Amino acid sequence: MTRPTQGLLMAFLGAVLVRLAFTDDYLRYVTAWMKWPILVSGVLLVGLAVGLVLSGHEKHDGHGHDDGDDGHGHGGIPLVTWLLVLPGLVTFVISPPQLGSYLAERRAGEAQTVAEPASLTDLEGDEVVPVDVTEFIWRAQDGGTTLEDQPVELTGFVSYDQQENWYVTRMTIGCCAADAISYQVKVADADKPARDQWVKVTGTYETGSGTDGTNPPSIVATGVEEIGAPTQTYE
Amino acid sequence: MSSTAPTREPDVRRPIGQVEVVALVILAILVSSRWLVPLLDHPSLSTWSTIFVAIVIQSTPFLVVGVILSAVISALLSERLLSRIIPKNPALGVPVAGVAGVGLPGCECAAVPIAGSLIRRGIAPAVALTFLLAAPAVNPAVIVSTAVAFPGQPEFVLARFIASMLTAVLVGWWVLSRGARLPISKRLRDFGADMSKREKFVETVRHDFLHASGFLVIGAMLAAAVNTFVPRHVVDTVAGQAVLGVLTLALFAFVVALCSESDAFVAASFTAFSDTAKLVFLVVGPAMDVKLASMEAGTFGVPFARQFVPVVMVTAILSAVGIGWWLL
Repeated sequence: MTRPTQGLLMAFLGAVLVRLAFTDDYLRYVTAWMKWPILVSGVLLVGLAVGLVLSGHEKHDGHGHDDGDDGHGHGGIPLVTWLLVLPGLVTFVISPPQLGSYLAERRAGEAQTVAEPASLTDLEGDEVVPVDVTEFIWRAQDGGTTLEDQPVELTGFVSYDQQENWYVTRMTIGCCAADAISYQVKVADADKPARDQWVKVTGTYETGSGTDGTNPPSIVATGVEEIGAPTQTYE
Repeated sequence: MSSTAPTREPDVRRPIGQVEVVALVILAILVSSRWLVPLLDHPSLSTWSTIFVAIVIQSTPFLVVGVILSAVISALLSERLLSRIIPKNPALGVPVAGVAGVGLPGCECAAVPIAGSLIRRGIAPAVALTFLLAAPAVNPAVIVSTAVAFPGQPEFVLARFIASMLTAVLVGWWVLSRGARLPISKRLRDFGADMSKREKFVETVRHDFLHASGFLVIGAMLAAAVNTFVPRHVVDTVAGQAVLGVLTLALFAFVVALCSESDAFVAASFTAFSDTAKLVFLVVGPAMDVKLASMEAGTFGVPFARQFVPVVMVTAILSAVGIGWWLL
């Protein structure tokens, strides 16, 4: 692998990172605070690539020490370094979407463990209150009494199960999409929208559902509104 | 690097060089993506690629930081400063390196090039490798996220800290006892003796990044495949059995390659498993996984990784089981 090729591979990866950070597409893969690390490391990679190519030209017939040799690969760089082109290739060709119903349905039936939310939504009064899917599940597992007779609005994407049920679903990520955990709330009394359609579901908690932590809680829907996917799809 | 580097063919003689080919391929991808995308729309493939890209872009900033720190260590730190930081006696240096790991709040990808450059600067491999094992496992970010994921179980945080530290130190002493018999790639030893500081900086960055990043991509591909295609309830079927549960979660930690700041949340979701098995998952993951093993093979050489990887796995499992039995 020649020096300029090495530089090109590094610069390509750097450019992909910069592009992801600028377009907010990075939110499909990692948490919001990663924006600046991604942007900065992308810029650094492009800069390093330029420096690498330039310094190679300076001492073109130099002492030959720019060829680290490790016995495999040519010019000292392992052959697997070619794989560096893959993340960029996948990003542009497949343009991977945010995680959706495919993974949520594969992971259905796992225990939905929820830590107590840092701040709880105020649930006093008769108006419809928007509540996070994870908070709804936490309140249900907490006995469900705080949700009774309270009209709420849940936002998430649609996932199915093998029976005829559908769920308003949300993913959470701690670091990146590899550690995603899916949270489902079963929707009763409403027609199934298409898989992965984002919806706002208004309704009330079905008393006694989802308190054991293994089965998802249910919401008895009074209205389902189809919406576009939010910028930040993970809770 | 050998002193007699293979002579490269001059690029000018070739009508189409490597650069042009790579540039053309990248261009072709960008242009054709509009037509290719609908063909590659299967949900399993797009889920795999989401997780694959996620692991790569989550790890790259940490790898870049690690590579730059490694270049600083290689090119800028003076001998005097280095010898003052690291204790003379490697047997004592091992636990010191373990404690020093508390100060690097990064993921394991940053630690690999840093450990490589420490060895390059003449630090005993045992000390550098202890740091490599400790840094991702015992830093404050990991401690906090473990406490959040296991509310009301402070003993879990303590057990994780002790078991990870124990693993790092025990493996460090093992490396020390193996001494020269451990085949660490020679390439690390004599690197750029005749370079200026600036050259050395650029060369270290180039060398370390290109030697680790390809292996990171391989690790990410495998981990994404496991994440996408292996349903977690397969893992749950052995939850009831003590020994099998421990071994399964250890293996699972190896193949899913989560970053240490978030693996506690995943561990908490294995409700069917014993606390000890969950602890094994948390201790094995930061010390060794498919992504790390791959990067270590690239940085320290395949013969080294073939010995190091199983020793770390066994030590991590035994430490976690011992500490779990004591504390949990």
